[in-house]
Amino acid sequence: MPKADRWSSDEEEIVLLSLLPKPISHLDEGTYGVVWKARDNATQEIVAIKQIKFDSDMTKEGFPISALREIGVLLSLSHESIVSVREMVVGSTPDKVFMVMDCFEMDLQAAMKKGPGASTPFAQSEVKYMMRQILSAMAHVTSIARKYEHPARNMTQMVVTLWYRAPELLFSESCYGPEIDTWSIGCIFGELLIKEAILKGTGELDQIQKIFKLLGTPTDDEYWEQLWSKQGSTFKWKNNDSDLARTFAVNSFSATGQSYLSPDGFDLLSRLLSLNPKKRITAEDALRHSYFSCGVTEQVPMFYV
Amino acid sequence: METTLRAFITLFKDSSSRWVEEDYPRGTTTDADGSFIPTGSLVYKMYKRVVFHTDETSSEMTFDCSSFSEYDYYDSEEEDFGVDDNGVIADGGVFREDEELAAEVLTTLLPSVSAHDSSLSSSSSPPSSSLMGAPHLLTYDTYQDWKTFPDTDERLLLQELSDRASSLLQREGCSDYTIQNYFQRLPGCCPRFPPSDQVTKEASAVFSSDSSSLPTPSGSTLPIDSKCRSIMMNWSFRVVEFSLLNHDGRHRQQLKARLLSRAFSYVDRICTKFEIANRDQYKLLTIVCLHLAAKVSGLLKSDAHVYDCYERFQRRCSDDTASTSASSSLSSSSPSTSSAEMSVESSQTIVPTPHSQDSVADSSLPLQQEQQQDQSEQSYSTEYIWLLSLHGLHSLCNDEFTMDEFKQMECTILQHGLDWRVSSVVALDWVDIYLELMVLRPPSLLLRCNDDENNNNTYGKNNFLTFTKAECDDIRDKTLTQSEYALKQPCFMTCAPSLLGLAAFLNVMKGYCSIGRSDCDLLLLSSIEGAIGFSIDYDDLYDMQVKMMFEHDDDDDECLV
Repeated sequence: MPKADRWSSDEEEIVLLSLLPKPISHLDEGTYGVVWKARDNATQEIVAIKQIKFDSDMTKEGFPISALREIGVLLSLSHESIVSVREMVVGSTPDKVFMVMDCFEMDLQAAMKKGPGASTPFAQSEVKYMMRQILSAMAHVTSIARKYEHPARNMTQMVVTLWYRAPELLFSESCYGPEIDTWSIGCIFGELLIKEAILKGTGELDQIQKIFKLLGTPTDDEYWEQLWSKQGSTFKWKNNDSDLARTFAVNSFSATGQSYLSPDGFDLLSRLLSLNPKKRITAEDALRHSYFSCGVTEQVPMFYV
Repeated sequence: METTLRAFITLFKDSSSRWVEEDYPRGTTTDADGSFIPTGSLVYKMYKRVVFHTDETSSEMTFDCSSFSEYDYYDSEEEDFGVDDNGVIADGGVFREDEELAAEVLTTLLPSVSAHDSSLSSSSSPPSSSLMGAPHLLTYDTYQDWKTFPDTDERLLLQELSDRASSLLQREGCSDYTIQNYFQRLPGCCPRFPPSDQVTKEASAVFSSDSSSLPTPSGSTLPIDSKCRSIMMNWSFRVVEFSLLNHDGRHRQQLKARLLSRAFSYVDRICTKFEIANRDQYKLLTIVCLHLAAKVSGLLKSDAHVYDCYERFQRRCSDDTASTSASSSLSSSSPSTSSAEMSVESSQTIVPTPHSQDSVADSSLPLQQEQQQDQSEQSYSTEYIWLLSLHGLHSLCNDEFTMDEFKQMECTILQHGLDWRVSSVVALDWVDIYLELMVLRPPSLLLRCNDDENNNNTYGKNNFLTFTKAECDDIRDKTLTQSEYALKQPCFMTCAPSLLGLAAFLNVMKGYCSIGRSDCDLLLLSSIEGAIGFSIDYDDLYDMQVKMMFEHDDDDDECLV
């Protein structure tokens, strides 16, 4: 087992023997971990190190379940579009557990905001390239992760960052599957087109309203009727018509800053953002969609190069 | 001398026939019937391939049968051509019966087969078509060359299965996941578990423990043996059985088999790499591996979920105090009254006390209570899962180990024993793939059994081997039972999970094929190899199948809980 002092960073939290000449930064922080940029002192490679958060409550039941499952899944995944875990490192104490991963210059959000060509929309060919990567990674994860899951039942709804959270989760659906991820991919698709998050709710209620405003209120939909009746919901939602077609113009080179979107692309977007999760397209089916087989050829985005 | 020839012909199901659109041959103005062909017309052409097996050698060849395809044309302006969305020609097109096509292919290609196959040299002349239609004509889909299938859906489906299989194979072949028969190993040839520099003062500080080492021998210094594994296996089965009490029978069976397979793959991997100091440590190791497997399997979803289950479990216990027998049955849930002690008896093997067996195995009462629950109590359905948490398992051990020892052992297992690689490949992962490939998802295996043409049961009215939902479930259940048996037997410990799963699957499938066991195996293996792309050691597989079938029958009483 490698020791943590093989890695350098300017942060004391990562138990270090030597500091780098130039500080390497704290990259990001999420619910379950903090990500640092560090240098492998053995190879001089720059790597990303994710420190798993250990709250005192977490250790009551031993190693945190979420972290363990994340490690297990990531270590077993092998896909060109998924960041790979190089190894696990334990610091001087067992609560200092790090995942050493490949480090990338920027994530997708940073690429949209700060990368080369950030001021202009992505070309359709670039969007297509990124969407294929995301969907094929998702399809891979779905097929691999299947063996980790027993049939979904009574699961927590507090998953996924709010802006990308599927509507059924916002209505406390506890039986869900990979379709919540394809919803998120639909949100990312929209975001790639306009370079801005498409559903920026300030809270759960606001998020629901924004979803219904964009996609219309699900009326005469058996799934939603059942879900609402199961919950004894007393809310009355204002009937909206879908605004998706107006928000994402098809075959238009308008000055709105949106990437060009073919009719096939719009069809895929609307299938990914289907309010009814049972009708939502799967990642596997999305890869077979004519959006990818017709029209312009995919092209590596400028910020990749 | 008459020779029986079997032709296995790759056929596509009607719902996904591969009719490929091509330009009509240049210069052709009329079709075979003399009808005028408009300029720009397209032709639908059907491709089929054949694979030959003969009785004597089972040699196999693949031919492109496109020369036997049927032609038709259509005017692209005319929609009512009779072609379905999926490209199958309906009324307007020409679609020959599979049997007729197969007979023609067989007759035409027989000379080629004879040239390749010495066993056919005695054939004086090609059999007639009428002879071909009789009992020895089989058609099936082997998935050979599936990467060239024109149907995108089918190709992607097989690609997905192939990807999953290669991911499993990759891990299966990795030294991190290797399992050896550690019972036959000489003492001292492996490092001790845990490595001596592992337990640190910091470790104990993190977990608020005064103890600074893992359990030391307490009376038992004998090495572990297969009996220890067997006892812990049976104990684990009972604990898991109880923990999954509220799940329905079939679901419980699946969860139990997966959980225990994973748990014991951890145990066996660690014991392969390290020497376990004593039986107490083996006991602790097994229990914590069971807990880890429950976490990784998703049965324990989060810490909050564990606490929630615990609270509901406690509430259930207190509700049940009115019932004397109930409190007796559930007493193992309380750490202060834990009863599932596993003691080291004078025989120096690990034996759960009779009390523990009663408390864990006596599930009848809670089961009856559960059956009485109304629907509003469904949210309680996971409460017994709590027993698989660290606190739950600790409570079953009658303070033989402390919580800190549990936690330290968990860290040691992850860090040193498994090197964080908790995704062990187990036989059931493979069984899933085989079932999906053959049974559960289209395109399913097609077996045409002309010697059984009036059979309307398993083979359906079209004589294809198809499965109803109930039959699929039955196949899965029986495969699980065989896998479960293999899990309990140390002799299967070192077998590759891919082969183990395959042996179980083939054994079960034999009961569904009326075409003879060797043919059934041949068809299935050929399809599996074609789709997944791995080569199978037939001798090993056969040995495993025999061992699994016959020893299973012999050892029923001893091996099954």
